[in-house]
Amino acid sequence: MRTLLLTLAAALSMQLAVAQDQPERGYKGHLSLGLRTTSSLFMHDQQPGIGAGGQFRIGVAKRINTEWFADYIQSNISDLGSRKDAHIGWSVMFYPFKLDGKVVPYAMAGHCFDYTRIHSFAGDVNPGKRWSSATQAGIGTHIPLHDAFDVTVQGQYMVHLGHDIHYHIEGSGNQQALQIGESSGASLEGHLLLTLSMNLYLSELW
Amino acid sequence: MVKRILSLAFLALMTLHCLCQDFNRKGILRAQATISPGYYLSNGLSDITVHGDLEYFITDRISLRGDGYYLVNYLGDAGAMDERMTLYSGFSYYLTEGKALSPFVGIAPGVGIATGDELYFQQNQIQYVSNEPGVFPLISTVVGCYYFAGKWFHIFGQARFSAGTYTTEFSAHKAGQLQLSFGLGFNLSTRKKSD
Repeated sequence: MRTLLLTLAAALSMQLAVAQDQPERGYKGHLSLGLRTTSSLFMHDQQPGIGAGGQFRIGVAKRINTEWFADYIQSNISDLGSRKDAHIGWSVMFYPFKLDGKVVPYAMAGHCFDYTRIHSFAGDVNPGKRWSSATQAGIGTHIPLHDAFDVTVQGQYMVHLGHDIHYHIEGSGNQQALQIGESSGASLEGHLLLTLSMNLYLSELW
Repeated sequence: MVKRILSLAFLALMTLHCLCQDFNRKGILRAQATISPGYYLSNGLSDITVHGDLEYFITDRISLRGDGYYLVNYLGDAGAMDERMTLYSGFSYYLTEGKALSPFVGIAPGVGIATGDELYFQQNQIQYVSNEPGVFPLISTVVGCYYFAGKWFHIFGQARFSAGTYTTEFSAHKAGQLQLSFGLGFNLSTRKKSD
């Protein structure tokens, strides 16, 4: 165990030591614009969703970048209803390792607002809607394919705080129906988001 | 028999010639419009769309592209969407460097806009509803190949696999498709002569 910890510390030190020789500016002042595709997984009811959106990034320091994003995710609830989520938010990205490698890993954390609408295909069930606030954290990596273009893969866990909105499936076989409920009390709901984005570097702002 | 052998040999030589021809794709702006047959992966329905795209090569091996498809009609049985337009934007990676023959793979998120009429059963009655336009997200991958035959033209062939779900107030329909496109495209170089 001691050997493993010493080895990991040495590896991290080497990474940070190499970082001393990184490009001076890093991400400072970088402006980039991109598109994203998002998959929402492992929500409490195990219904995956697919979404699309966009983002722009503004680097505030050599090793700190900010990402401002919006996306729209749609999930099919067992062909009985549909859930739609729209996110708008921002994240801060921290780069602890090399900035000019074939991959540039980062850790991220941020905040967003979300609008959720769940409706049943039965037509006689009122849809559930809510606005919520969320925090997210995760890791990702840029894959620079060109000086002006990168592909980014990231995974983040997002926790929403808002009034409770829930649904369940009643019945069986052809008699199944989606029942939707809301309550005024606050609730926490989390889900994992996997995002693939493509980003084009536009300019250095400062 | 001799003619067949000579024909095959000629074809092989021409293919080899195509493979060896140099062509620097950096700075090339290309576009095309064609008719594209599509096959729905979920229910086997087929349709015809008008497909147009615009692509710019930021390097010899990486390009940014946008594609649009507009539904013309179904082949055989009609699907849930009476009108459909899908737009994609993404990038492609080219497997050869500096060659006229340009196989590639790409990935592009997209968005679909569709309308459709449908019947649904509510309170022991069949209701007919004309849906408002619905917007749904899509993800797609594309594989294909271009042959840049000269300064202005190229021949292309590609296949796009997409995934997504078109949802109305009363139903969900998988919109994932395999769409094939081929034909003649146009290209021009935006590089300065000194490059």
